[in-house]
Amino acid sequence: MLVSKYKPSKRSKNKIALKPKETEDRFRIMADGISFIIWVTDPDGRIKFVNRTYCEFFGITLEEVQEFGWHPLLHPKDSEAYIGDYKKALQERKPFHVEARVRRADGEWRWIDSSAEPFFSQSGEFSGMVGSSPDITERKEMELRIQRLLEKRSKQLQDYQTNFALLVNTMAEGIVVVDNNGCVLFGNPAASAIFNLTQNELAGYHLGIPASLGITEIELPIERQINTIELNSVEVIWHGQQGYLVTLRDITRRKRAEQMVTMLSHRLVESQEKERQEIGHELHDEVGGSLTAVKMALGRAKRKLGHNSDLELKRIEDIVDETMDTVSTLSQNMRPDILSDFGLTEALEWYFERYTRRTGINVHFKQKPAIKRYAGTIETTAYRIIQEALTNVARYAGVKEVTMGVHDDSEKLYIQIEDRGRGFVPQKVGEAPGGISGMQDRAFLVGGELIVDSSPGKGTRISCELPLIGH
Amino acid sequence: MVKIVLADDHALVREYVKDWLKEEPGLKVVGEASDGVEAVELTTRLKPDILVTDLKMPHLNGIEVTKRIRQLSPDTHVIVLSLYGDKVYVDAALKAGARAYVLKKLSSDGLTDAINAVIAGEKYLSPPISGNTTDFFDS
Repeated sequence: MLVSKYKPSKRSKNKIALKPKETEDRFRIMADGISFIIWVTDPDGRIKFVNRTYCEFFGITLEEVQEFGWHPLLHPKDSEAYIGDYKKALQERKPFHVEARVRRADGEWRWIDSSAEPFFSQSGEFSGMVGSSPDITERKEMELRIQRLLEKRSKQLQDYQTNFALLVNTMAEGIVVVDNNGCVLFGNPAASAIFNLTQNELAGYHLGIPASLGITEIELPIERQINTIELNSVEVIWHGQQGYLVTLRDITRRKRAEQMVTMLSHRLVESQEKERQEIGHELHDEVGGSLTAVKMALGRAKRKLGHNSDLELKRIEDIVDETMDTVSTLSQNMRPDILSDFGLTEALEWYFERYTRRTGINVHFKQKPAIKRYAGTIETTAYRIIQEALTNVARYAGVKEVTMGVHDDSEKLYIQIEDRGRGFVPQKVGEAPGGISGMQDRAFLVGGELIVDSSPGKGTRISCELPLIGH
Repeated sequence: MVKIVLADDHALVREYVKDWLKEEPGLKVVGEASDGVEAVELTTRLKPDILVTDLKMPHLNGIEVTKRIRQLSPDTHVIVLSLYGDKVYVDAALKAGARAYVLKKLSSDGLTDAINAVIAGEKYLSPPISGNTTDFFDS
């Protein structure tokens, strides 16, 4: 607030003749009515006037201020800067503006925002400073709170960043971010390791954009090896740029392990079948052969004894015949020679004919196109699965018809077995009907799949796919 | 004299067939083989009138043996003697060029009948497998 240079006009000089004291009084009245602190100094900076608010605020009189000074009212931390700036302003007769804390009458520290202007007499002499110091405590505290909050958030952010960096740098999965042109914007150490590059080489490296979003696999030749990498790609905005975020996992070992499992499974199925075949072979050759010899011996004995040969001999012959039939059947079950000699079609037709004769169930067999020969394990697996499926139909379905379809493409052999029988609840597989998990195991062992679709009253449908590639 | 070569990997079977045929006048067993390769080798060398062969033998099965004999020793007639009477095998044997198919369980008279038929220029199948029905596996 300024006290302007007041030059009484010639007119007012005559009429009103305002004396300096009147001016002062007006000023005093106005100042006392103002709700914030106002003070006026003399040219040496000593307090000459303080308004009522000043006195009430500090709980002090003008005389007390003049005697003891106003320095003690300042907060020790702010005192030096305030006084320094004040003295400077006084000296240079320039405006003054400082924030500081002062002690209020009730003992509380309050923030004030002091601004003062120099004022001059009519003759241009420096007369001192006029200042106001409104209480800005609320605002200041708010500012401080905000600042503290900002600092806290800043620290939190930093913590997050540190932890994030730690995570990204130590995790085993690789992460890269590429821009729309496929250049690497960011890559973590695990990603560098996967590509066999240093972190520096990875930055800006042209990787290309992912072929598709979501999970894909690629083969990466690195150091004379082919590694299989599993990618998961999503679109991302990275520091304002459009690009792709790709996580990378080296699944080479897993793939190899899977391949090993498949190979071992094949070997397992093969050795199981081999064992059965050997038993079947022994049955057919040894037992069957011996029985043949017995029959021939009996033939000779009959001849020697003439046409009136003993009835007992005839009975022995019958027993031997029966035994030979049994041996033949057992041997065929163990070692379906027709399968290995002629293939799946022949073996199935042979099996279906016997099955129908035994159970009375008709098998409608469809193969489109006529199936060829496949690897031994696949033919055996297909045959055994069909065997088990038809056994289940005979045991549980309660039908007279069953449909069988077999067809292939270059990659897989497809088998469907369907009946309109009783059906069952597939979860209860562990109990009965048995054989479902056995079929699934067999399919799984050769790297195939078997799905059972059934519900009570709605029949049963078994769909099986066996891989032909890799055999 | 009808010369016969026997092929079966089961020694006992060969024993008894030999003994059986010994009783038949006009038949003579001139050689024995215990696997398919030996059977072919022996037959091509001795050129018998008849080869009696099992289907299941090591190294080469009876069907293959039959096919090769038809090529290498066309005057030799092949009689298959097998435990199995399934249509699949019978068809395959006949298709390969066998003249007769005898079931082992009917091997005594059956074999004699088959040999006689084949010498007479005919074909022979053990009764249960002639025709399309295979009543062999009654439940």
